Amino acid sequence: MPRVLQSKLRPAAIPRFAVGRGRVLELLDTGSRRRLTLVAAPAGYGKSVALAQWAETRAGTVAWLATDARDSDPTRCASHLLAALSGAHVECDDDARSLLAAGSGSLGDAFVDAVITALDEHGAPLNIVLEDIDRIESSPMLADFERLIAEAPPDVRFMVSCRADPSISVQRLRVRGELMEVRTEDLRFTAAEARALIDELSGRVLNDDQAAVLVARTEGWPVAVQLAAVSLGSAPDPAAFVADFAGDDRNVADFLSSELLQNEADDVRRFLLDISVLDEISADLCDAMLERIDSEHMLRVLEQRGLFLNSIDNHGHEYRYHRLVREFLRHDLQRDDPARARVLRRRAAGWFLDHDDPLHAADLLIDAEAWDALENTIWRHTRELWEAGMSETVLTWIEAFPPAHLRNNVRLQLGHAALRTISGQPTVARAILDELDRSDSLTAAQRLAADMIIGSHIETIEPPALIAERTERALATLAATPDIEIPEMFGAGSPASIECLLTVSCARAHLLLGDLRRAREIATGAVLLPGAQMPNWHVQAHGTLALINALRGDLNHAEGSAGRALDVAAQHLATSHPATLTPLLARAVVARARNNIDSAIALCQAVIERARRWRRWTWLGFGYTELGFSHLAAGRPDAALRAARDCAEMPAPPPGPFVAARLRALEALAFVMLGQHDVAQQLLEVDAPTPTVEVATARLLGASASGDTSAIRKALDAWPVDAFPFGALEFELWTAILAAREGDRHGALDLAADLAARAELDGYVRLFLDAGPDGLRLVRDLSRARPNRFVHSVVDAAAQRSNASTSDELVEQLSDRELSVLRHLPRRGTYSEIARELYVSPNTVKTHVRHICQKLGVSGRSAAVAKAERLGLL
Amino acid sequence: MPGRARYEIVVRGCLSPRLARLLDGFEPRTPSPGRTHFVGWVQDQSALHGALRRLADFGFELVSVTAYPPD
Repeated sequence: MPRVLQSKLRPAAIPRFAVGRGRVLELLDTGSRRRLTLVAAPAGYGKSVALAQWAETRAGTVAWLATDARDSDPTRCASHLLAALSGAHVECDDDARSLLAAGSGSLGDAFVDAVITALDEHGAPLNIVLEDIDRIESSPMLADFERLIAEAPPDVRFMVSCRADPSISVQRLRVRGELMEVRTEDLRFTAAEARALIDELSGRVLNDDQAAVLVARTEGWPVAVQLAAVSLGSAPDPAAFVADFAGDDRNVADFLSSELLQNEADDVRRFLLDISVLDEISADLCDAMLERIDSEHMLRVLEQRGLFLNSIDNHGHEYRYHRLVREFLRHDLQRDDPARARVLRRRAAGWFLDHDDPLHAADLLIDAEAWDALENTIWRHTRELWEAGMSETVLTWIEAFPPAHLRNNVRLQLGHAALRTISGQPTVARAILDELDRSDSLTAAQRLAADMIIGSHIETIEPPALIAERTERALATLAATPDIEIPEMFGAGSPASIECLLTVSCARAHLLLGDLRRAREIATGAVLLPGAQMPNWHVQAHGTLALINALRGDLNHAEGSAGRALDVAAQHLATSHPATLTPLLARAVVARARNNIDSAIALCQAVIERARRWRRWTWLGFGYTELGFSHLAAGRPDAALRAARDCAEMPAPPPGPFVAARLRALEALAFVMLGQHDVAQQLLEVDAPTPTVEVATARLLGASASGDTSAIRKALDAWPVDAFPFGALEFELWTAILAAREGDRHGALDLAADLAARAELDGYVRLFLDAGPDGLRLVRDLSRARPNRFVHSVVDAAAQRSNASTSDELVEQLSDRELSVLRHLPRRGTYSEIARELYVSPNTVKTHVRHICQKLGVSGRSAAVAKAERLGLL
Repeated sequence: MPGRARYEIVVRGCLSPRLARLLDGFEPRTPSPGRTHFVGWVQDQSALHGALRRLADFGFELVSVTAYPPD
C-alpha cells in the first residue's frame, strides 16, 4: 500500500504551450521575500502552472505539497508533509508521526513543534508550497498550518494556493507587511497572453477581429482561453466557431467544453469521458479499465494537443485532468450513461486492489456506490490499514455507507464502534454499541467483541462499574468457550490480545472503583497471560500492576514493574505511546513516596502531556491529582489547588470514585496547609462512598490540627481497614501519633521504630512527612531516641525548602514544563539526556529552551541559566 | 423542519441543457439574459454551501444568493 504518493510532492509538468507570464512570476518573486504568499483565484486561473513555473526558477529550495480532501486524515497529511520536507533536505525526528494527536482531526501541537524545530535546524532558506490548501476541510488542521506559518523561522517562506480564501487569519501578516496576495485580476491573461496561447495551441491563423472576439469573450480566464484555442483548432469551420461563440451567452466553460467534445472523433470523445472517473490517470490503469492497449499513446497525444491532461511524472505514464474540465466531463458521463460510469469505476477499483492499493480503490467504490465491494475491501485489508495508522480514512469510508446498509450490519457496526473509539470518540462508539445491544441480535462472539470495545473505554469515559461488569462478562465467556471465533476488528488482534485487553481493563476498572485488592489480584493475573508477551500488552499489564503496587506502598515492586514496562516500550513501541501512561504514573507515585519531588513532577507533566494528546482522560485525571499531591509535598498548596482545578475542568468527568475521592482529599489537604481548616472540613464532610487512604489522612490531619485527641481517635476508628494491606502503614503511623498524644511516648516510639524499619525497605520517606506536624514531631523524636540513617534522612528531607517558581520581573511567566527544563540546564547534560529524564523528545526540549530564552529575553543556554539564577528561579 | 429553506442562487451565464441537473434539487431558469437562476429547497446551511461549492467547481461566477421568506 503506497504510504506516500509522489505525485503530491511535486508540481505537474508545465505544458509545452504554457504562456510565459513574466508579470505573475515577478509577483511571486516579490512574494517569496515575504513570509506568506497567498495565490487565491477560482478554478481555471492557472495557479498551479504559475507556481510550477516559479518553482522551476528556484530548484533545490522548494518543498512542494499538493493537498487534497483526503489530507483531512492527520496520518496521511503528516506523512506527506514530512516527505515533502525530506525532499528539500529538512529532516524531522524519526518519531515525529508518533507525536500526532489522536482523534482530534488535526496534527497537534507536538507534531507542529517537531516540524518547526526541524526547520530551525535546517537553517537555510526554504520555500514551502502548499497547493489547494482549502481542500483541507478540518479547521483544527488549518489552525495547525496557520501556526506553522506564523512560527517557522524567518527564512522559511510559504506560498499557498487556494480557490477560496482559507480560514487562516492573515490580518496580522498583512499589517506587518509579511503577506503577498496574488489574486484573480493578477492571474487573468492579458490580451497579448491570450492571443499568444490561442495562436500557439489552435494552429490557426486568426484575423485581429476574430482574435479580439475570443479574447473578449473569455475575459482572460486562462482555462477558457485554452478551451477556446483547442476548440478552434479542431473546429471544422473556424469562422463559424468564432461567430457562434460571440453570440452565445452561456457560461464560457460550459459552451467551450461542449464544443470541444463535439469536435472530437467518437473514439477520442469516448476516451476523454471514460477516463474522467479517475483522479490519478495512469496508462496501465486505463488499459485495464477500458480494455485497450494503446492508452499510453492516447494520453500522450491528447496531452500534446492541450486537451487538459497534465503529466505528473517525467515518463509519460501518469496524468491528471484539469479539475474544472474534469468536472464537466464527469457530469456528462454521469448524465449520459450512469451505468457505464459505475462499471468503469468498479473496474478501476479492481485494478487498484490488484495493485495492493485499497485507498484508491475505496474512493472509486464509494463513487460507484458499490457497498458490498467496499465492505469486502475493508475486511480484506483491516490489519494493513490499522498498522498504517489509517483509521481516520477508514472512518470516512464507513461514513459513506448509506444508513440502511449499516443499520443491520452487526459486523460493520462493530468495526465502526472500534474506529470511533480509536479516533477519540468513545461516546459515539457507545451509542452504536447500545443500539446493537437493543437490537438483541448479537451472537456470543459479537457480544464479546462489543464488551471488548467498551472495555477499552476504561481509559476514556465510561463509568468503571460498567466496564467491570462488561469485562467480567466477556472474560467468563472466553473461559467457557475458549475456541470462540471473534470477528477481526480494528485495534484488536488475536484472542490472546483480546484476553489481555479485557483483563487489564477489568483490573483498571476495579482500581478506579477503589477496590485495590481486587484490582491487584486481576492485574497479577494479567501479567502472566500469554498475550502479555506482546510488547503493547506487556507494557499495559506491567504498568497497571506497577501503578496499583505503587499506590499500595509496595514501592520496590512497583519500580521494578514500571522500569521493565518502560524498557520494553522504549525498544518496541513508538516514543510516547499511550501504553506508557500507567508505568509513568507508577513511577510518579513512587518518586513522590521517596520524596524525589522534582522527578515526580516531571513524570506527572509527561503523563499529562501525553494523556491530553491521546485523549486518555482517565490517566489525565490521575496525572493531575498526582501532580497536586507532589506540589503539596513541595509545600506549594496554591499550585496543588491549580492542579485540582485543571482536573475538574477536564473535557470528561473525573474517572470514577477513587480519583474523585483523591481529588477531594487533595483539595482538603491544600486548604489545611493554607490554614483554612473550615473549608477543608466542609470538603471532607461529604460522604465518600469509597474511602481512600488520602481522604482518611486528610481527616486525621484536620482532627490533629484542632488539637482534640478524641477527634483523632474518632477519625482513626473510621479508617478503611477493609483496604488493608493498602494503607496499613499509614494507619499504624497515626496509631503511633495517637499514642504519643495520649502520653504513651515509649509505646509510640516502639511503633514508630518498627514502621521506620519497614518503610526503609521500600525507601518510603514520605510516610512520616505526609502526616503533618505530628508525623514530623514523631520522627524527630525517633531520630534523637533511636537514631539511624534512614530516620536521619527523613528528618533532613523535612528541612528542605521548595524552589521558587515565579518572578515578578518576567513579563510572561515560565510554564511548569519550561521550569522543569530550566532546572536541568545548569547540569550541563545534553538535550538528549535532559529529554530522557523528562520523558520527552530532544526536539521538545529544544523548543522549550527556545521559549525560555524568548521569555527571559536572552539567547543561548548559558545566558538563560545566568538570568534565571539572577531572578531566583533556580 | 428547521433549517430547511428555499433559496435562489443566481450565476452569470446561461446553461446548456446538459447542465440542467447540475445542482440536486434546484431548477435552473433564465428569466433574464446572461443569467441563470437556480431555485430550490435546501435542507440546511451545509447543503447550501455544498451547492455553492459545486457551482464554483464548474467555474460559475456568483451574482446573488437570496433566501425566500418563510411562508
